[in-house]
Amino acid sequence: MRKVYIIGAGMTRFGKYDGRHLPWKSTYELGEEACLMAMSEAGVEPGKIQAAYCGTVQGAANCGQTILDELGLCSPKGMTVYNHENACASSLTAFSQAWTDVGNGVYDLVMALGAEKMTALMGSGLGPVPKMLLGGSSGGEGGIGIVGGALQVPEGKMFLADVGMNFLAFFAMMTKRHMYEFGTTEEQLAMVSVKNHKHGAMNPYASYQREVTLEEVLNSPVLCDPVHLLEICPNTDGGSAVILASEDVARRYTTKPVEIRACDVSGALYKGKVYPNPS
Amino acid sequence: MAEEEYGKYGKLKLKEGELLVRKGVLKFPASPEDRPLLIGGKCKLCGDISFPPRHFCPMCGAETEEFPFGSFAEVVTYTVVRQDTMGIKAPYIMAMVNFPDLNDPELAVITQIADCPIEDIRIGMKVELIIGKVRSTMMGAMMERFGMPSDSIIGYKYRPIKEAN
Repeated sequence: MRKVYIIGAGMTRFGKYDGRHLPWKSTYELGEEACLMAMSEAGVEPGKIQAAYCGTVQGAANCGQTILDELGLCSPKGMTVYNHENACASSLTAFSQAWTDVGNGVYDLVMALGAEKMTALMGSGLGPVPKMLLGGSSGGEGGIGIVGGALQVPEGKMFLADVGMNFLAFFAMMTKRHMYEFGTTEEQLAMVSVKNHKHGAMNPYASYQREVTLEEVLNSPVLCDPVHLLEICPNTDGGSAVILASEDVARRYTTKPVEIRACDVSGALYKGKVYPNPS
Repeated sequence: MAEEEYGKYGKLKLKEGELLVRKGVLKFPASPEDRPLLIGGKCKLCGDISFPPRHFCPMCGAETEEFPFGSFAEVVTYTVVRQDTMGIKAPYIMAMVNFPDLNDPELAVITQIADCPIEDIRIGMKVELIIGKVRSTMMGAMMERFGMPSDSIIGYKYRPIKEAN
């Protein structure tokens, strides 16, 4: 495989583009914004991009095609666009495929992008289904903006959801076991959130841009024991894009291309190790 | 309030509006003395047990066979879910349970814990399998809000083993 370089990147601010916290934006608008930033940083002309790889979970069918078409990037002959869904790793999966294709000489200049509008989901508290239909606490009321509730999965889609699981419950169970095995305390876990919020406060792209105190975290409502509201990732909207190029093409656009050394996509382990092994 | 137990009534007869969580993962007791069981897959070659059952053994690739197990288990870890999940009213307990008699510390089944006050749940708690309603369907959850009958999903749950009197 030949070397592949990143020659431009773009990213929207993450946040709730629901018209209440941040101005309303659709999945497509978020994707387009990121694409334009990446193209502008790379200095790539619209007609030069040969293929695109779009990662999205809840974007509608043909999400990538729509974003590129609305930008006017699809060539008159039609452009090759692949849409990837791999849960939280969707955009990285798209990126990985873009890297593999350029590396194998299929294309010389491509774009990998991702766009997601989580606040449009059911159960996010702001979605298309009125909260009263979903039951009492599904929306989630938070100290900082509105934090999403458990994602709602209709029956028949996920076996574990059918028996009552939600995503946070899974991580909460791992945390509980970790506390049991190693004596990790709630204060120690809360300190992670305090540290991350501190960094978020300095990041113009972050969803939450303010610091929190240890007390605020520990006093925020418990969603799934022992995880507090201020310790979870919020339901957030955003978009991102990168332009990938082969070595000779990359040199045409920049003197400082970023080489991709590795990228790996893997499924979860079959068994065990989801919690520290009782021994 | 005690959960309705399907295992007590011999062969399962689903009522209208009841769906089974998945075919082939539950063994209903044939008589009132029997206990309900989960059906896992056991590798014919290396003996690895998985749940839900797989057609092929993920460890070695050989074929598997039905393996009923899991009447009794032990809580490995748990959480109290404090926000409603569609079709289930919060708070409720989710847990990973392990089966000491199988001697496979990596085999964990994710389940609801029923009939257990949330302050009583503990790691290491001994639990037993029951079959009953695990949640309402998504449409059912919406209908419940208007006082209409809802469709339910029938599946497996565990509950604490009561001390012998």
